Amino acid sequence: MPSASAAPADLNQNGIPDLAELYIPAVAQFPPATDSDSDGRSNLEEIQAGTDPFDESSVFRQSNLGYLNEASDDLEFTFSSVEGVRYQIQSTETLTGTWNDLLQVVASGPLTTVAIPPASVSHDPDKCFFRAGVVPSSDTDSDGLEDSLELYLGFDPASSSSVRSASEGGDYAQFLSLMTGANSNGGLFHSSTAGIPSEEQASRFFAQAAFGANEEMISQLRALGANAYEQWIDHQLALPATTFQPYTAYLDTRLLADSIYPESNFNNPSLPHYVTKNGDLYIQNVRTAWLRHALFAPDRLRQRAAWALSQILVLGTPNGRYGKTNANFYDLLLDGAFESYADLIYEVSINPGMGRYLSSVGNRKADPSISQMPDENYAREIMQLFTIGLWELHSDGTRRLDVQNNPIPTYTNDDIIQVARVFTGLEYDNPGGSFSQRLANHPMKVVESRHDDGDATMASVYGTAAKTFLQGAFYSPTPLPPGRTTLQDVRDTCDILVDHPSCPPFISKNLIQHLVTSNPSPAYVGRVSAVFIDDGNGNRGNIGAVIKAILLDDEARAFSPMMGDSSGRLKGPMLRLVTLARAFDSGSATPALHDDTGIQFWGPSAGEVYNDFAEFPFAYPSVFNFYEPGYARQGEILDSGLVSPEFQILNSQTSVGMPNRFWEFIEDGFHTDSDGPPPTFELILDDWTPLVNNTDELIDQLNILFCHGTLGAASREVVIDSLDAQTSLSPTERMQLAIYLVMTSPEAAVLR
Amino acid sequence: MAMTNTLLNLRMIQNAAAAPPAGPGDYRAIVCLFLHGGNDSYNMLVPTESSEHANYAAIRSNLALPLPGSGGAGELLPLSTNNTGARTFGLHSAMPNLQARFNEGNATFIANVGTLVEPTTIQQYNDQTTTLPRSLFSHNDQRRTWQTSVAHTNFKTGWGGRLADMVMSNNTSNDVSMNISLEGNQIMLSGSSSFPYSIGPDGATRLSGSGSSSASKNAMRVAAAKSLVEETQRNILLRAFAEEKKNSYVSSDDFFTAFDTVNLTTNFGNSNLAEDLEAVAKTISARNDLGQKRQIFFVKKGGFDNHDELLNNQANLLGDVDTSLDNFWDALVEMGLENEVTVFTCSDFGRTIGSNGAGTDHAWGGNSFIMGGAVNDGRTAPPAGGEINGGAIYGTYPDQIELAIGSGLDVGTTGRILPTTSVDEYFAELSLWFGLPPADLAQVFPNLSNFYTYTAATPPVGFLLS
Repeated sequence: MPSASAAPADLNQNGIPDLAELYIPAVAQFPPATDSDSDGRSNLEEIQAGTDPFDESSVFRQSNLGYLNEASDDLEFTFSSVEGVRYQIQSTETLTGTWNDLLQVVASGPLTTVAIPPASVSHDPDKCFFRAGVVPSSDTDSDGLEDSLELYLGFDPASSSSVRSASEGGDYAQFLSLMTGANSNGGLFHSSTAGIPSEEQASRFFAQAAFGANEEMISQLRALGANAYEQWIDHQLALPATTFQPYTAYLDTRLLADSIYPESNFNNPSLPHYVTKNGDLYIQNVRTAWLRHALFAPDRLRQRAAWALSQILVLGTPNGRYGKTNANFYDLLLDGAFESYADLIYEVSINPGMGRYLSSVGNRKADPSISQMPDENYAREIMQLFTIGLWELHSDGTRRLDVQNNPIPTYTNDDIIQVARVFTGLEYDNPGGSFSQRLANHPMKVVESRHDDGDATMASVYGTAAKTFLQGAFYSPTPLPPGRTTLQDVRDTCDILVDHPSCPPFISKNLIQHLVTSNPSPAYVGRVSAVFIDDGNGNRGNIGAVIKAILLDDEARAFSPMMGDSSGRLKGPMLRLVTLARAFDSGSATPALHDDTGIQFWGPSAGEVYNDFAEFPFAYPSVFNFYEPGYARQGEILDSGLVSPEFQILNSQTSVGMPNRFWEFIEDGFHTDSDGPPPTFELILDDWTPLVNNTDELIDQLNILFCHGTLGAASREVVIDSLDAQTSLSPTERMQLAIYLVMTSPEAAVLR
Repeated sequence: MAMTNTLLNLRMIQNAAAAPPAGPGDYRAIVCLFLHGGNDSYNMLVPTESSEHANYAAIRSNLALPLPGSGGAGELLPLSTNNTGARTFGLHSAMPNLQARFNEGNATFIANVGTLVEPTTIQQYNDQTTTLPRSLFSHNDQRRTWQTSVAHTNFKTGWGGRLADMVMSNNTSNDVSMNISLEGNQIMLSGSSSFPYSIGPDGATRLSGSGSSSASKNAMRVAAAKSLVEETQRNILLRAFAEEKKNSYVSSDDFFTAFDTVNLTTNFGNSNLAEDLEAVAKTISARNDLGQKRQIFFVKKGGFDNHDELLNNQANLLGDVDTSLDNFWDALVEMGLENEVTVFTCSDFGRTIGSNGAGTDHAWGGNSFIMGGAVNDGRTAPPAGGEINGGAIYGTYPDQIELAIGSGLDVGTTGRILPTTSVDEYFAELSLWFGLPPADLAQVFPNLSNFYTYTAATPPVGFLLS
């Protein structure tokens, strides 16, 4: 029996044990000697005992006495315990006498029974009292991390290399890695000294700020040195947008100029593009652009931000010949991803694809002679989904409540009727007036005679000439006066909505949920909202500044939120898929973005892929996206008042279909379905050859790329056992199996 | 119970030997067909008595459908009604099979049904003296309200889930959930202990390995993947992920085995809806292997949010609904279960009576239909020789005063019709038929008592035979 006790780990050497810092996020307010629940045990003692420092009924007391009954030859003593905590068992003959150490035991559940050989008791066992006491900072495996800390982290307290190979420093080194860069300055968690993020933290950052990482990206980030995150973000914010339309323009040129591209070769697998006739492009072309950009475009942050924005400002189009519409709309998001939110909403509002999707195009002012009123579709969704949401919000994203404690709607149907007046008079900018893919990049034009300009007829229909909406207790914008043009009305409405006090928290929280965590604290939302309200230069709605604030916030970077019981978000299927491709440089032999030498992304039967993932670029099921920000999975997430947006698309079909699809990609490469064109692009495993037979180090590397260092000891053991059990695998098969198992683990699916 | 037509009777006899045994009351299923986006149901079920139709045509302007026999494009199909007195009704021209089901007494309508917290008059609405449903006219919120059947608040469970909680003990096995969705996670199917099980048109997917690995290597890989979700996780999202996976891995193996052996001879069409309904029919056929005496299904048909191009789009959508449900009816007859399975429709909301040019906007009350041998055809006497059976329309179809713009039951200025029957009453009737003990009604429908007090003699609406 080792003595197994050590000073508690304090890697950042701030005098507070790391476990206490992790467990108690507001460590500055609660020094570990505090007894927050006044139960007689300090917070630190409670953490070490595994009890709740904020619940006075949860406390371990050494007065846990038991009097023995003899059973067989051994004596048994049972006491209530906490799993993983080490206890010292002592005995005494008289309760007033000296307590003698007998043995130590690590509890495996809420009740622990120890067998005590009578011979080890130096006095009459029939008259013996026992007690169990917590051994603080016990360290069973002597790896420098106390047992309770290891349990908290998902490490095995009985093994010094349970989550990282011994040759790479074992558990202690893993803990140090997880703490390093868990700070916006790149340094150690809760340290004011800037530093260089670990590989683990760099990988985690890229799961939030890009579409995953490979070893090269991680090295490059770390090579930036101190404050690497901020340097990288600033560099990215300054990069120009890499847009999709150069690719669609290229295809157009080839269509017109090159006789090898017939008018329609949709199902011809020998041709490299899914073009289509009449100058339209199938949506598959734009999926190709999406994957190429996600993998190879240098403006990684912008590509990721546009993907998040595309799930807030949703343009859904039927599958088919809407390639140019989607490329154009996505480019709006790419171009606007770091600009003014009000400008972006304005561009969206006059985009012909959006006009078509939410039927604002062709919308005419009221005609009382035929009982005809303007279409309300866009008026509703621009408020409900694109700007202010349904409920009045405080700037920290929590709902304002009325005197009866009910949430307060931001608008009524009368407001929608008024805003619908704004979106009249917009038409396709096409001489024939009909929709044309070729004109997808022309904003809608205006026919002023169809616009409600608040003339006398309109005033009589609505009872007011001015368009009057959102006159509430917290905000009452100036009504839009009569006699304005369509675009003046549209522009002013966009500004009014973005100026609404609910807009900053509504959009900020939504972006946080897409990038970092499903359940940000109100304080986090409030900090980001403040940047939305004013970026420091007096600008409202600077999306680039908002994204920077989201990524550098302590709640995004720090280690204690990362390890929290409800932290993180379920990664979306596309993020997981691109992470897989990027980790193994799939397609990097042909990284072209905008010509026909690059990779292709799936063929016509996207439906099959969609069934397995329920998320797929440009296959939005409705304006409500693949999943809604408020979705809460039935069970303890719902019961806890938490939300879990991405769980809306995790069901018994996708939970099985997704790993099956991942295996197909790992084993056979990414490819279009059997009807689709070449080329297939496979995982490039050459660089990994030296690791193939070193199971421990192989898993270390996969843990960095897919789990950002969070693969727990138990999961690691499953992967190791499975690899070791299969002795007939070829080196490639062994790699494939390891990749599959690590990336299908819960630790890889949830980004903490 | 209505008589089926001769052809169907013949098919029943032909298939009697193949059909699995199911005595009345032994097995029951309800199938929710959700018309996603807000069906313009005042163009699905239309008044055809001449003055009522004239009123309808005037207020619908360019979206009005012509009377039966008028010779115009899209003329309505006449319905033979047993309980509407002098009032007559027609059905959208894309739905001849539903017309046939109705006229033979195997389909019915519930008119002007919608989400309500309590009985509400137009006066109360205007005076704001009543509790209204939350977030009226909003797609996702109203879909949710139809699915929870608790209109005043953001309720956490669905009525189908709560119903399943109460009746799941009828099943001999609950290894696979009795709440089966063809549309992923739907709150309607979430209860306290019951939850949705998602399948696709081909049934369940199993964790497997396509590709080139040997069977034994695949088996070991799959076994390890299953072990990975068995580990204890401290983080709630990791735990939820693992739980969802674990349930799915187990259920999909069980479901696959039961579903895989089903062989129905009925041919279904190629639309997504037809394929989904085929999967429902096969799952019903697999009920004994699944150990399920009660099943609740959720099927979606999308595309009904027609702010534009209403007339063409709705004709295509309802046409698919009609032919796909006709396939499904044939499959029920093949299985001999047309009296044990009831299909019912829901939608986000009805749409404005007024036109916005080429379409209609979000509104409130609308018309739903129910298909199955258990519907009450409203007959008081059996049909005489040569007379068709006919069917019934329940609820209260707005009359020509009520169906109006800016007056009548319009809660605004564009023809948003205040519902006169609540979804609570609609679903309570389905639940009682499904086997919910009357004493448990209040647990499943907390607002039902605002509309209905149970007595054996008086069902909530009356559209189903007990």
